[in-house]
Order: sequence, then structure tokens, then C-alpha cells
Amino acid sequence: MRRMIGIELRRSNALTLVLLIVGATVAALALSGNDWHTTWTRLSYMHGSALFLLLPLAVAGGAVLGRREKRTRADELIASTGRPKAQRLLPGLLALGVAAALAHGIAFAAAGILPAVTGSYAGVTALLWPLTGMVAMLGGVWLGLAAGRAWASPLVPPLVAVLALFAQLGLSEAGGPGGSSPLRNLSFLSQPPSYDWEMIAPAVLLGWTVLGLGLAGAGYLLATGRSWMPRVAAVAVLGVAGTIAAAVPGTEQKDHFRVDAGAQKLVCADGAPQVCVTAVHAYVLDDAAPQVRKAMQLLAKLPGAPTRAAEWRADKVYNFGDSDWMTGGTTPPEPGTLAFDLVLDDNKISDALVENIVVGAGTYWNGCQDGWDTVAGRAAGAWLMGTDKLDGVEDGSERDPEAQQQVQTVLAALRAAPEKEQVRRVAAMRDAALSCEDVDQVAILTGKAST
Amino acid sequence: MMRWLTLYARSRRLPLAILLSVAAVALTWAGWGLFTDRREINQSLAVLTVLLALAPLIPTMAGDDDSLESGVALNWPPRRALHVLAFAAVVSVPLLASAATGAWFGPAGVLLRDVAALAGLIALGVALFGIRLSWQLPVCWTVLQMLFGNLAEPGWREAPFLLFQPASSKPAAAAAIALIVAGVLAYAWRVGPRTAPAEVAFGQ
Repeated sequence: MRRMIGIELRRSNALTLVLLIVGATVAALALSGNDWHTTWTRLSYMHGSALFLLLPLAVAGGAVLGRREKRTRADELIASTGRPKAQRLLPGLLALGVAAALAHGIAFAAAGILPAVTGSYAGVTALLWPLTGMVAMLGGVWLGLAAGRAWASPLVPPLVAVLALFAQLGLSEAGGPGGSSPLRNLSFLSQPPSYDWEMIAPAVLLGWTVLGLGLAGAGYLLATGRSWMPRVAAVAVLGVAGTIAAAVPGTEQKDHFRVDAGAQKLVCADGAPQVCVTAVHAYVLDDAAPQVRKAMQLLAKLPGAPTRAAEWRADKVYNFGDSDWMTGGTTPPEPGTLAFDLVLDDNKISDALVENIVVGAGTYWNGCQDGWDTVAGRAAGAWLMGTDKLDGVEDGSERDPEAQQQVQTVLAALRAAPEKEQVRRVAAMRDAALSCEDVDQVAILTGKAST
Repeated sequence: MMRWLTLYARSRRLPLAILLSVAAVALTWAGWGLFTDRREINQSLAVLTVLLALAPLIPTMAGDDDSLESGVALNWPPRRALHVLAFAAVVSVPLLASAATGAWFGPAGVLLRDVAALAGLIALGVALFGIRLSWQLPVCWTVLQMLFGNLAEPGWREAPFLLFQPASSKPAAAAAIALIVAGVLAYAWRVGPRTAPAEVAFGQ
């Protein structure tokens, strides 16, 4: 049997298909930006989403092999050999299916060298994701082989490839834009995780595995079946697997992802004051620690300044369209601890990390549902930095001249007060922001508040 | 002449191909009309429809026996060029006609650009690699553009992501024209790699 599979590997289009899969994966990873270089979650996501393209290629590759007997007019000759059809087809099915699945897995392992050398946090679930993709690739090849055997036209490979794309695009758009539908679970183009510590939920992986097994089972039955019985069984298998795969993972983002406690574990830099980031972002700790300490030094102008800094973490999965979720996050910082965001872009911390921390006197990640007061926050940040303007803070007010003007007015009113009063006002504004109460922070800074 | 055309269409399996192309456009058009109330078809879906409509073109670009055909004393290059252009025109008609109906595939300029670019890419692929491999590049590149088309920066970088550019994009239009010209010329010059004689003997 092994010898036969070896012969099939050389005779069939396995090499072309493997090259095509590897090429398409490399192109997809190269075009998708640098996000996956450092985190296993993002790599798993990118590599798993590439199935949107790879599955149609696998189906088409199977169809090319399925056409072989009829294309060479050897079908009658081969049918006359005294062996059951299933046994006759098995070497070809296994050779091409395993080649496609392994190509997918090896592409992940090769790309995984990059996150591995940065020593990034690796969760088990992120590593299981490619395995579900390998099952799906096997299923795609077998289903395509059945299609090619059923209709041996040269039209079949390109047509099934585009039809598989069509089906996936249609399924991923099910429920309309912004909506949700269980049918979306049948497409491999899933929604990306919002934060690096969000891991794919086991139910989703289970759903994809069942879907892949369903494709493989239906493909095997259709390719090897000789009567109507296996064909009906194939439709039933596909139906059951599709129903399970659609229903099990749920429809919301919070069903598809879960917060990984291991990824959120804090890793701290040597030296004082203590600066900690999450395990998934440990690779920027050395760059970030001096910047965070600089920001803490600025914040120390105020009485009761935080003595420790820890990266902000979410305690639940971000659900698209959550109305109660502002950029302030959902987790209030511990007393005496400064919560900050790394403002990562292209795996690097922002040049304006200090500005992003001191804005709002270090209270932007306060865990309040109402978020923050942009004008008061920017004014307090500029006051702490000793500048007139706070550059590099992405809160949308940069392109709002009216808000910019207000910041200048507040800043002027604040600086007109005596030195001690300025410190008192900014500290009062900080405490108000941390308390999550709805107080007019601008009034506190300008001295118009009753307190 | 009529007799030659009939024989040519049959030898290239054209009736089935054209039927499938038109059916592909009709499928998207009817599906969109049934399931949504918006008129303009999602751009990704429109581009995939163009690809699906052009996919049947690929197997029509070679006959069963190239060596037999090349022995015929006909001026093949203009005929082959016309084959690609005519097929692209046939695909364009139902796409453009959708402008008069309740589900619209998008501006005429964008549609013609996409059809020209993909037909050119297919013809170029057939001339270089033959009909069995030529579908791979158009399919892969279209999907990669679909997923990452928003990455295109203004300027010449619009050209590689041409399918998802607005109608006003000059680099995209230039790239589409270059592709159709290169594709038609390459296919007119060369029908693709010869099939192995042993395989031709088995026949289609």
C-alpha cells in the first residue's frame, strides 16, 4: 500500500497542488501585514483564514485527479480490474488528500518559526487551529475528486474552485452586513480576534473538524459509491455534519473567542518602578519599560501617583457593536496601579507611548463604561507634559478643530491658576475619572466646579 | 463560413461554455434580487461573478488535438485573438445589462476593466502554461485581491490590486489594458504547450 501511495504521489498532480497551496499561503501571509510575526494567535488566524482560498484549490486539485481515468480513456480498462472500486481509488485519495493536508500543516510550522524565535506566548488552542484546517483540506480534495469523476470535463477544476469560493463568500455574508447567522460558521473566513489574548473557542474548532470530516466522508462516499445508496448517504453525512458545524459554535463573537488567562498573565521588567505587560506582548517589554517609567515620572507630579504600571487587559471578549464598551475597557485598574495600553502598530510600540499614557492623567484605561472626556483628558495630558498640544494620541479629536480649540481654552484657564491649585485640580480630575461617576471633568480643570 | 464557425464552436466546446457563463451571471443576479433589498451587488461577489463567468472560457481555448489543427492552412493568430475578445464580449453583455434591472453589478467602466484584466490573465496563462494549469493564477490572485485589496496604496500600487479599485483609478485601468493586450497577443502567437502525443491518442 505504501508503495502504491508513493507511486500515486509521483504520478498524480500532488506536487502541483502542494506547490500551489504553499505559494498561496505564502502570498496570503506576506500580503496580510506583520501582525502574525510575533503572536501565535494571529498566525493561527491568518493561516486558518487562508483556507478561504486553499479549500477551493484543494477541491480543484481533487477534481483534476478525478478526471484522470476518463481523460485518458482508461476508465473501462481500469474498471475491468478485479478489485472493488473503493480499494482501487484509495491510494489516489490518500496520496493527494494527505499531501494537501500536510502542505497546509507544514506551511504553519514553517511560518511558526517567526513567532517562535520572539519567544511569544503559545496557547495550545492556537496550535490546534491548523489541525482542523488539515482535516478540511483532506475533505476538500476528496469532494473535488468525486466531482471530477462524476463529470470529466476540463471545465470542472476551475468551475468547482470558483463555486467553492462563491459558496464560502455567500455563507460568510449570511445574515447581512453586521448581522449574524449560524451559516457563517460554515465558512472558513472567520471574524478576526480583536485582542491578542483572545483565543479561538474549542467549540469553533470542533465545528470545523466536524465540517472537515463531513466533507471527507461525503467525498469518499461519492467517489467510491457505485449505486444510489452511498450517494444518498453522502448527502446525509454532509447534511448532518453541516448542521452540527453551523449550530455548535454559536453566532456571536463572544461564542467564537474566549479570553486566554495564560496570554494575559503579567510579565514584569527588572527595576523600579515595576512595569508589567501581558505574556502575549512580552516581546515589547524592553522597549516599553523606559517609556512607561518616563510617563510615571510625569504622573508623579500629582499627589497619590501610581507606584506600579500594568498593561490594561479586558476581562471579556470584545463583541462587535457592544454599546457599553468604550475604549476605556472593561477592567478597572487596581488602586495604585497605572493601567496603560501599548498602542501597538506593526508589532512596535507607538512613538507617542508617553503621550498616550499621560493623557487624562493616566486614567484613559479606567474601566468605566462611559469612557473618557476627550477635552479634559488632553488638557491634563498636555499640562503634565508641559506642552500646548498632545500629538500622537488617536482618539478621533485630532481632526476636530473645535475640540482642539476647547483644549487650548481649558489649558489656558488651568495655567492661570496658582501652581498648587493647578496640581490640586488635575489630581481632582484624575480621581473623578477613576471613580466612574458622571462629573464634569472640564469644569474641575477650569475651576468652575463647586468642589 | 457558417459551416466553419459551427465546426469551430463544436470543437472548442463553446455552446456549453457560453451557457455556463450566462448561467453564472444569472445565478448571482437572481440570488441577489431574491435575498436582498439593496440594488448594488457586493463588490466581492461581483468580481467573483466575473471570475465564474470567465472560468468556462479556459477549456475553450484549446481543441482536442493541437497538432492536427496547426496543420490546417488557416491564418490562426487573428482567429485566436478574436476568440478571446468575443468571449470577453459575450460575458460582458449580461453583466452590463444588469444596469437596467433591480440588481446591479456596478459601473460599466469597472466591469469592463475587470473582465478585460481577468480575460487577459487567462489568455496569458493559457499561452504560457496550457489550459490545465491556467486557471490557478486568476483564481488565486482574484481572491488575494479580495482579501487584501484595501491594502493598495494610492499610486502605482493600485495596479496589482486593480480589481478592487474605483473606476477613476488610472493605474488599475492601465494594468487591465496591459493584461488584455499581452494576453491576446501571447495567445494569438502561441496556443500553449503541446499535449503529449501519447495523451492526444487517448483523445477527449
